[in-house]
Amino acid sequence: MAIIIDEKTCNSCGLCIKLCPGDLLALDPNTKKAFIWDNSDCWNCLVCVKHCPVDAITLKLPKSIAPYDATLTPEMRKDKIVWTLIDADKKREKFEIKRKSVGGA
Amino acid sequence: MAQPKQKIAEQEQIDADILIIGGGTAGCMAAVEARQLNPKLKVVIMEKAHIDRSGCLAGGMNAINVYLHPGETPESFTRYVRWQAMGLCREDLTLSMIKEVNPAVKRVEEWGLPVLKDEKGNYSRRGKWNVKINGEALKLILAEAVAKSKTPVLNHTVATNFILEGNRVVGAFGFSIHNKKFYIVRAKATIVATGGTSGIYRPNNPGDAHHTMWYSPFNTGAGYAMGIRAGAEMTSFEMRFIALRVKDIIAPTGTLALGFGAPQVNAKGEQYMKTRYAHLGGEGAPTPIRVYAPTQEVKEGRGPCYLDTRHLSPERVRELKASYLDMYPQMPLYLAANRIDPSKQPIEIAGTEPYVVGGHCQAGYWVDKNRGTTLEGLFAAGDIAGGVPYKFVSGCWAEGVIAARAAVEFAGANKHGKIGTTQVKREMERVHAPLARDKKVATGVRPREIEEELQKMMDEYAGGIGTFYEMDEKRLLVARRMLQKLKEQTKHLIAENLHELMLAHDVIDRIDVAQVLVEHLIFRRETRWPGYQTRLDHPKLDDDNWLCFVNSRRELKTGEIKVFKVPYEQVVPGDRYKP
Repeated sequence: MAIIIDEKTCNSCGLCIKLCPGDLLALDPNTKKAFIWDNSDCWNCLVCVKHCPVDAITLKLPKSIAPYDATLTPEMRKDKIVWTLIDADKKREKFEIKRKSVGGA
Repeated sequence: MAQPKQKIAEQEQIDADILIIGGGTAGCMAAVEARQLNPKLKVVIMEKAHIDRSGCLAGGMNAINVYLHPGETPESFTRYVRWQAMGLCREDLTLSMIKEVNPAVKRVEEWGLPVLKDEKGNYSRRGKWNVKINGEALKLILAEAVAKSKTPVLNHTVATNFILEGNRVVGAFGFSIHNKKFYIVRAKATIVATGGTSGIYRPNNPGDAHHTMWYSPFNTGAGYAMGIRAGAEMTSFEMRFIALRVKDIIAPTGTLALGFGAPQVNAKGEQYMKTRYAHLGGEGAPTPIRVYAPTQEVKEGRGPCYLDTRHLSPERVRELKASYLDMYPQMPLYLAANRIDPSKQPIEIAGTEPYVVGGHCQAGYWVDKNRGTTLEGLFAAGDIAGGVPYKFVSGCWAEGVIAARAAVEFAGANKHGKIGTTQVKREMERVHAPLARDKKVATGVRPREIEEELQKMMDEYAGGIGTFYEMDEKRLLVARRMLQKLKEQTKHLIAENLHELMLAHDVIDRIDVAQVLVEHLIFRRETRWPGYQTRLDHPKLDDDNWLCFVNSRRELKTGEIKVFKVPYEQVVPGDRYKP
């Protein structure tokens, strides 16, 4: 397991398909939602998670290396990125990091 | 997921003055430089993914690892790199690269990269040659500069082979995954900048986590393979790169060691770098030794090994996580999902699968000072270019600049070459073959199956993780034979769709790279770089016979790989085994 795409939330914009560095995503011709060809090919790089305009994608590291549930959510704002990290014991940490925003991304 | 049958629907020819294959670190800078030098030239980038987030920089970077701070000189840098590379590198190329690094960093800062500074306004250091940055958006910044330079980009286009006219490269073929086109790009000059190769050896993690790795799993050696198939001379493939990384998540350790002062310790709590490896520089020993040492500790029963972070305060642990978020965000997630608190528990380390790269080691095209390869009209920059084992991001920019200058000059002095119709037809058929083959026959093999077979045998017979990276001639000869068989099997590759067709060509390319790698490993009968290249049957460093480069060239007609020695030249005076 690497990324989970919430089909209900996905707005079919295609940005994740465009930007995945491994070209691992495509649009299902029937449902018109994004899907990943093979989840085991994911690099865990979070590019799709960062760019999804409706927060439909979550990164879940493979079980064999990350046994407990934890989440990492990036929020892209102008000139900074705000990360929320929730660990296996539900402890929450927030990080704000300076960043140049480029063309709305 | 059910998909309609896919095939490559049409072909399109594009004429460019300069074609850049690979829109990554080096390729982006090369495009901007070429367009600045001569705005009349048409420069085209062929990019496998999308230029905004492709290649090694997809997730970002938190440091620039090559920079000349006040007090350092090109010569002091070259001495350092030579010592890092166990006394053997292309000193001429190292010197010419480092002279271009600081202006390149300045340029990217002007494009908007946040560079951290001290009170006096100087760049903040992280170690001797490093600069701290907030580089989450580094790739977007480079892509924006390319867009401003008005360089068209063929995104999602897999380069498959060079177009040859005799010994001259006159362009390249590629196919687009998204618009189902076969491209014939004709160019007066071509720059190859596709990065290095991962996925030749069995990776650290199995199955679902097989791409939980440090180097981009999507850098599959296309540029090397294209050069090998075109008869270009290659160098130093045997200097494999094995990175010291955080075990399981395979996160970089420079942040921990340089940024947060974490020493290596074994299971007994001994700081073995400071004791057993004091004569080689202790914690600051050359990079191959820093991965060889913990491998030996484990082999000799003193593992696991760690980077000891227990001196860090909770505030520093927070800074540590923030630092990773700019480059390798999966690392803080890994800590959180494993209940690891670095202030209470040291971080376990491991060596990675061996990679073939020219940016951390020196595997790549044999180039002249202008980054011209042995094929006319073809230039190489970044991870794909050989001879300089300490480039990293800023060195790749520098090489992009150097290659662009030479390509601009070459494109100005030469006309377009001729493209034979049989060459086009042959390549189109080769590229399309896995899609065209009957999927139902029992002999059909899928790309993933061949990939796993390749990785397993390379691990076992050519010095992978499973054999502590050690090798000897007998096993390497087995690897040679098995690679030949694997190559035969690629004739039965099948692909259901264009995504899988890309994977099929990835594995074909990886086998071509692996064959050259194994020939280089067989040829060098000494141990020059412990860990990277440990020969059990020739365990000593042997300057009398092996202070030279190992180069190779595949014969176009017979397919035979010729391997030979090329003399090393010392340019910067001094003890080659001292920094």
